[in-house]
Amino acid sequence: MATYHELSGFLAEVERRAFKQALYALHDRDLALDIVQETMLRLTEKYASRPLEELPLLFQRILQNAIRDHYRRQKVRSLWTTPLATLFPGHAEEETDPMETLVAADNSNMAGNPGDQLQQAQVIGLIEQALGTLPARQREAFLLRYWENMDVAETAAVMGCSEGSVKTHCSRATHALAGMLRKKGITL
Amino acid sequence: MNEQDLAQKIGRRLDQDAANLDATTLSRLKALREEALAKYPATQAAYGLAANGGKLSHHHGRFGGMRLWAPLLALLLGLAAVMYWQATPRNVDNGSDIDSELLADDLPVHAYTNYIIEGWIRHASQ
Repeated sequence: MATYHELSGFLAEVERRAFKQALYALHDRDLALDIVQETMLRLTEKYASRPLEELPLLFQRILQNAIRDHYRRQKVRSLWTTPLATLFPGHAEEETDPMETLVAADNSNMAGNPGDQLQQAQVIGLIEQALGTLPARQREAFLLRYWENMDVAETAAVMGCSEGSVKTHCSRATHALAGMLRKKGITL
Repeated sequence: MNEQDLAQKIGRRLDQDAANLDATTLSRLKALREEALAKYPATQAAYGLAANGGKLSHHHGRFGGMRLWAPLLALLLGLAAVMYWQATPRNVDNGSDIDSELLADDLPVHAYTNYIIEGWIRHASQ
């Protein structure tokens, strides 16, 4: 069983990445914080008795489920709101590529080779934008595998799919990200 | 650069980004963490017997067992009450006998509501 301090340390270690994961998925800071709160509470209330080594997988599972639940609720809501929106048009958003509209930071140096000149913050901004354009399952698989450093089996367990699906999602996500970054002239 | 290398480099960049969150978000996250950890002692108390004594199992401590048995006991009591209620003869049966006698009688039912006939019946029975 994880002690209070172990659990506290664990949450402090994962909270930033959890927030970012939720943010990439939901594109809303407050919603992302709500999801992180829900995940932390559920882990503490229901799984604090589990050994410390089980917590990362459980935490990720709760987090991904919370994000998926949010998508489902959003889908149900849109079933009602979309017909109403078509009745009252006027604010429909045009479909745009966020990569095309990203504005460079004021303190950036734009002269010369783009790969050398973009500031780190800009590169990260572009990566985040690219992640935001990925399909949800691809993004989920990519972040779990290459950011949370989970192996294929663990990722499959969190996502509730087969290991083959995880490999396919990861491969497609990486291809898509590579293509998007190449298009912007970014070399990591 | 192969896929794996690119993915790992992206992962490292994301780590750098996560390390540089703004102060407002960090303080919100800290508050959320503390709020979640405030729930910890309650959970610990539920499992305290298992952790301290070692005699009781993880899931079925003294009160844990009660929690498990109480709904089952309530269900059995409920079933027993239903069976008892169904097995007990009730006054409804007697009432139905009287009703059927009245309906099968030569005298029409509405005659019993007529006070003259009712008086005659009383007088005749005395």
